[in-house]
Amino acid sequence: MRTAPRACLAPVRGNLVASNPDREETYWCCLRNALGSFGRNGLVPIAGPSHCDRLLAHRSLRGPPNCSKAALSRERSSSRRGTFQRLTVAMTCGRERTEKAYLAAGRRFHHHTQLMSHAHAGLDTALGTSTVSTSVGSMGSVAGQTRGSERRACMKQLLRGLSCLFIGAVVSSAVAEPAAAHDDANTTRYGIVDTGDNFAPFGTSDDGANGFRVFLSSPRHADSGSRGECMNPGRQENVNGRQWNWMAANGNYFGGVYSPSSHGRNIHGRGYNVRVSRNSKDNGYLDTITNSQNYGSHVHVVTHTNANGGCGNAASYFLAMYRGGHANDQGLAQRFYNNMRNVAPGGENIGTDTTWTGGTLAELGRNAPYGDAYIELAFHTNQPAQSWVYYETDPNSWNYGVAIDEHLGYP
Amino acid sequence: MKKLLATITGGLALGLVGGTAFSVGSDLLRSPSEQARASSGTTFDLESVPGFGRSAIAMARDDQVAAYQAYQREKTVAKCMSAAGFDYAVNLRYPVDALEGLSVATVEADAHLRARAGESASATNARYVGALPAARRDAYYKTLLGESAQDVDFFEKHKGQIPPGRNPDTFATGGCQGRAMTEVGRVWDLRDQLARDWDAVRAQARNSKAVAQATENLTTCAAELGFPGVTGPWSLDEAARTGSVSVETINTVEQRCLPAWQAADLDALKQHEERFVEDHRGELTSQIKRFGGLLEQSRVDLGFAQVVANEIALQGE
Repeated sequence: MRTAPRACLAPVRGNLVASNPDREETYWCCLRNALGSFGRNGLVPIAGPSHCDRLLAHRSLRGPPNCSKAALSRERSSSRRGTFQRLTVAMTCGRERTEKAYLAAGRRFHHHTQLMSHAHAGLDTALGTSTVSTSVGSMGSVAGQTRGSERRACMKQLLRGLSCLFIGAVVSSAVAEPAAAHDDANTTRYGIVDTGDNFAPFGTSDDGANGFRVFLSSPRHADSGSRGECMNPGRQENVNGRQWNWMAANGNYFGGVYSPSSHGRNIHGRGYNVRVSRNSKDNGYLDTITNSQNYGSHVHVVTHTNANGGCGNAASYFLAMYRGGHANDQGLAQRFYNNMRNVAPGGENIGTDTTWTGGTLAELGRNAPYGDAYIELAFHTNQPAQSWVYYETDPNSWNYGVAIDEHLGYP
Repeated sequence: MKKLLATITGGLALGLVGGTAFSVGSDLLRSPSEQARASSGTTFDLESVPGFGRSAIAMARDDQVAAYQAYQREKTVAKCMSAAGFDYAVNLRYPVDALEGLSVATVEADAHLRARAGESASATNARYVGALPAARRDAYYKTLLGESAQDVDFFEKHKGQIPPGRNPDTFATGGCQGRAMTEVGRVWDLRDQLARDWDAVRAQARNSKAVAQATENLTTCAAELGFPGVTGPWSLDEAARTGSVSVETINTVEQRCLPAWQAADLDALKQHEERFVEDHRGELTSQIKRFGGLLEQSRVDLGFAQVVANEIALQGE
């Protein structure tokens, strides 16, 4: 059985695990998830847990970086250090607020030139010589301060035949680039997150926007973590559901293969605007429905993991539920069933909520115009199934996009 | 606050929305009177109708209007709850990051600069209702949702399951929230009402001669690359699912062959869209008039800007 790489669990000075034990992952894996996949120019594509090992093996990331002023000054002035290295050092040595700002910046500005600006600024902050205001995470203020340098750097790259992106214009490249998610929320893929994430089509690796909106609802059980979840490995149910939704919305696998330029790799790549809900531990099911109604979602898809007693239970199947008498709901659920039945572990079932739960589920009454579906991916009380969710979300979540496209007729 | 006001009333800042630059004066963001004049005589673009946006900028416009309506509904709820003697914090319940491209950028900067602290509206409301004695708590939920505290407790305890014997389509749709939804409505309502008609348009476009020709070209192009039988993007998904063709080959077909088919498909859709607009001219014109005004209003409503700024600030904390 695979386990999380030991190196990823090692505490590093300044990392969030040391200061916040509730975080489920190390600083480095959090960084990976926050910044997503990287492009060219010295940055490293992120694909799977083994990348944590490879990153940590990199000389610049082995163990705690040297946060002395002299070392940081050398870091800032070194022309041989890549952006990623600068950013990680800045974020490790900087204050937590700086880190959050740079995580947010990494999510908004998906080009290394802009990341480099923030890395420099972060080192300034760590050195106590910051010339950047505390609104460094703000698109407006940072763009205003760095736009000139960004444009110059961008033009240099153009001359080298590379593509680049800066605020105000998009320069297309001859080769399709990995698209960036347009998510400005300062969230991580794992963990309990009290805000939603928005993704939209962007760049040459996404289809053009088709005008359809998808709402992916994540669990909001107040007792998440105490619902019999197996943990060797495994995550609490609220995280299971949201991280699957997050990858379905923004993943980089297609056909089980890491393929960051495939339009079919995730839902926004297929041309949809997609919203991944928060997964707060507050029983906020009505709040989620209201969010979905406000957002104007065309389809409403709920993703949970199932439970039967405690960890060690034998029950294991995929389940797609719909509201009886609602043809759109049934059609949507059927598409998920068709696409997930040979992917998810254990058996496969489809039926109404009254049949499978003995009652009616409010989220199947959201009445999105093209249907609501309630998905129980797998049983988190069954260790092999829970392990599947833990390890196999990345290469399999693209199937959600197929189900949605098939249901809506590839708009 | 002056900075906020200057930004909002000064119109849209040059910014980036979903990868596309936009600026003040975009056709999609014309004043209601301008849009109404444009729609009165000749055929107008469906994109110009709030709620029917497809492009990034039109989606951003629709997000702004929808979020503003969510705010208006919450203000209505707060007033309704106050009249019944209850406190209620306006809870936007809209993805504020979807508003990034319009007048929110400087709002966000301002929020960061103010370093606003505090809890979210949902936390405030949860804390308030949690502290109420049983009888008041029951009255709170009946006023807010039209449901008893007992039924709300059942609902939460049973993970979103509606209490037995209750109509699932009407549970928690009453009270102040239900009235607010009826009074304010949503920019999406007309879009949802016309969904079936729009589906017919999409089907006609997809079955057009132009798309049929494009499909033949696609099939030929893909076959030349070693991927036979391709008739549309669904063929790529099927191949990926079965493993019948390598992902590399699928990607090559996607990059070299599919774009022409997609362009033809979109052209066909836009041509058939004209008929849809004609068939529903009255409703669509009314939609432009009603929601164009709302868009303008949202740009100068400082209460709305404040709520959005707070939400963004909370996201960053």
